[in-house]
Amino acid sequence: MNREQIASFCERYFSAAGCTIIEKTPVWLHVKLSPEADRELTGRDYYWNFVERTGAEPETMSFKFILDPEAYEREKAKAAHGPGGPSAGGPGAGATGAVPSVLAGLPPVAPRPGRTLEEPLVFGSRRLDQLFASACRRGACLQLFEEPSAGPSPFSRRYATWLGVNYKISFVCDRKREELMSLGIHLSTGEIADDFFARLERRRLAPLMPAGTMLGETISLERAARQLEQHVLGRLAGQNHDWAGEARRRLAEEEERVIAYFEDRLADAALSPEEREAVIAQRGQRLEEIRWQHEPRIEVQPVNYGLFHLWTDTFRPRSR
Amino acid sequence: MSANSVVLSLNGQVEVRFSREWLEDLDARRRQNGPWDSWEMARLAWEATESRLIRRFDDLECLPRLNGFEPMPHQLEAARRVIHELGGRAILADEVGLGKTIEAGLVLKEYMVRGLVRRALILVPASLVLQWVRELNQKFGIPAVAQKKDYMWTHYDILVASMDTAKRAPHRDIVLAQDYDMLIVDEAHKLKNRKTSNYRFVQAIRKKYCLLLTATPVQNDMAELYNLITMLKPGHLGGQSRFQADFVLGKRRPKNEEKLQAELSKVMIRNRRSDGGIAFTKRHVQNIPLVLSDEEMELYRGVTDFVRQRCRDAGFSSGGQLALVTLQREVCSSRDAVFLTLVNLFKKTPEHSPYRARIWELVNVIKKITANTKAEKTLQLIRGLGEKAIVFTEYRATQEYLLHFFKQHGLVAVPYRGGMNRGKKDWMMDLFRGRGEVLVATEAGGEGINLQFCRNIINFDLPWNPMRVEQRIGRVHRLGQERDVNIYNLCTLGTIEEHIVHLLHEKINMFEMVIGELEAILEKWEEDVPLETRLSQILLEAEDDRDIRRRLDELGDSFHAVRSRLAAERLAAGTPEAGDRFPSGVTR
Repeated sequence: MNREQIASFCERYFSAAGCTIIEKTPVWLHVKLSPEADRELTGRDYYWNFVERTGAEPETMSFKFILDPEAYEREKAKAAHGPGGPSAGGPGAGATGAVPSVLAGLPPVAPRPGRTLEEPLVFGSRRLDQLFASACRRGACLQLFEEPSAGPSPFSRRYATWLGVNYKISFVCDRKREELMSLGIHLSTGEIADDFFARLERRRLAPLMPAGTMLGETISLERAARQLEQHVLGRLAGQNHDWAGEARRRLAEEEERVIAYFEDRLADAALSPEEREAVIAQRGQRLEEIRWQHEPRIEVQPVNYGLFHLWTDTFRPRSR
Repeated sequence: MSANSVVLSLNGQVEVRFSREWLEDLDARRRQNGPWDSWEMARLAWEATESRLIRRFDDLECLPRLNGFEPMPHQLEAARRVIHELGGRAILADEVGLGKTIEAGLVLKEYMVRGLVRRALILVPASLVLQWVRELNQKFGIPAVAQKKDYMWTHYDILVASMDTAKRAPHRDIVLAQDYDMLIVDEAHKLKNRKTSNYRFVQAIRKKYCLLLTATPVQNDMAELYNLITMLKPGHLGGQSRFQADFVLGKRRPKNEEKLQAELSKVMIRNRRSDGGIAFTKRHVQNIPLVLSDEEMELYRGVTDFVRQRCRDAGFSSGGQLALVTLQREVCSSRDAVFLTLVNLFKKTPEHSPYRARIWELVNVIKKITANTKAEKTLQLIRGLGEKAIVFTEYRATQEYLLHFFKQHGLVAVPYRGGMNRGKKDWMMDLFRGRGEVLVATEAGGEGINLQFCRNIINFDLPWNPMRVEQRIGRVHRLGQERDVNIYNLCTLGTIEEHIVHLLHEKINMFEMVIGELEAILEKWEEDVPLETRLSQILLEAEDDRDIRRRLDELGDSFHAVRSRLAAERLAAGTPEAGDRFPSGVTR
């Protein structure tokens, strides 16, 4: 993600999480957290316990997230060297110098509930990783209904229900790479659609079922899941898996070496029974370690999944 | 409803594990009609996953995630090789000062970003624990924690601990009961003997990836090299007997060197200063001779006579020798330094001792001194430079005096001492980097002090331990220093200082040596008697100045003998390079 993408991601995340965006510039984003977001992001369990037990009015924290630290430093330096005076302040003024505005004889800009923390929010920062993880946790399981279009529908008022799953596929040995696969399966016909998520993007979806509609499906969720898994397997079978062959070769080589080495050590007639046992234990540990390290495997994990009730009964294959 | 995961086989070649937890979740929410997550959040989740996706086996994904820190090319290359060619088990054996810690941090970060390492243990000497924690957090954003309490072994994913603590009960059993995705051992040359408790402990830790860091992997013994590699990958060099037969000619002499090097390059990475691409700037060394004022010289002679007299009276074996030599060295630094020691000596001397009167006489001589020739020369020097400079002294009293003196003359002077806590040290560093004009320091050893923004060092007085001199210089002459470095040695003529500067600069020529080389020579040369002790002995026993000079010259000659012997050994082993006999695995 570049800086603009991060800025837009964060703005959307905070809105979706019910937070209030107080100020937004290309350099920073000033946010007051919602109670739920505060619980999830600030690690103030003790405080929230207190609020729950006493029924006190909660005060959530505010953050000034610095999206462009270099520009921010430049601005700060300019403000520090520029002409003083009350107008040099602003919401961030407390942070620019060591002297709080109150001590400097300035009127407080606004009553500030709770604390405001200043923090860089850039790619690779722990905070952004935390937001990513939070989005994954809070955007996992969906049920959505396509809104009826204005014109007469060519189909009956019956929804076609799809199970959609976004998979992350990890190819793991001592190294690793990942792929994404977005699939949907029609729960009546069993038709499977690729790039399912991208197709949903073009539709108007809402969380509530419009009145007077019917749901119907004939395939159980478990059977659908099995069919999706077979489909993933089929697509994987069409790929090149030299990486796994190479990992197996490394593993075999290493195993051979380890076994030969320990045979050599166990051939030593001077070993006491205890020593012999220790060497055998060492060999076992080492063999386990190299399998742990090299054994090739593929892990398939959904990022999110849900039931999607759409008006269209089928996705026609797109011409390429 | 169903198991948490389903395992299918892909063409009988690879196992594919499908997670099934989601199915239960979806089914439960459908039956209870909610709660459902929001569409926007789900889209954000998908975008976040896309942005963090590890698309290729062989990139360094950690690079775009490092903020405000840029590794050097040889460090990136080392990390890339460890991960993509050595499978994450390697000896990092760069020469001192090339950034082994950075390389280890890069490897750890990369595995964490890829989700291949969650739990890691870093074992280091106790004195380096905090430095490691700080570097991993600041440079790499890795949430490393220093092990302090028992519960921490199991509660934190990335733990830095001292080797000595970890291997002791009750910690030992806890550590051995864990699985570590990665183990890093710093100063791993302490693992070269496989009969030691350290070796057995590290061997018994269950680990997937493993990095051993050492600057001197092959210093002494072929057997030690064998042990280190066997720790990492048992069998890599075959059994002990095959290794002896295949690769060992003599204790320190390898054979079949090409083959040995090919094997080594699969487990070891060694960057050297002499390799291309690692640019160090030059060192310019200049001695600044100065003549003491009459009053200062009177004090120096008085103290010297006093020291000699006491030594003769006490016999040469007395343990107080070093303390007396210290007096002599202090006179060369400042009257303040010697004053404090004299006063203490006076207090300790019995009331009726004839020495008491002598000491008091010396204190009176001090009172006559009004100016410090060295300090004035230093001030002149700094003003002439027109740049920031670091002044090193051995003595606290001198440091206080200099701080006061510089301030009086309008220089912004910042103190730096070993006794300061970390926060204060960092603060002093910042002050010096900002407004400060001169840093007056008594300590150079300390960890993680990087002063590359300054390039002038003034040795107000010199330690008698060459490694400490080298540490001083190493603070500014390191990777990242972009300009040539100036080193000035103040040298009061007609004193022991003149002799010492002569020995270190002219005879040993230490200022122009690379760190690794000096260390290797000193290890052989000093054996059990440190240079410092030898110097004291010579100074106390010598008849006169000419005798001192003669004995110091002998000392210097023996240093050179060791140096040429080491060079000859290297040549015989077929590697004319400085440092050691084995070229690095990195091909350039």
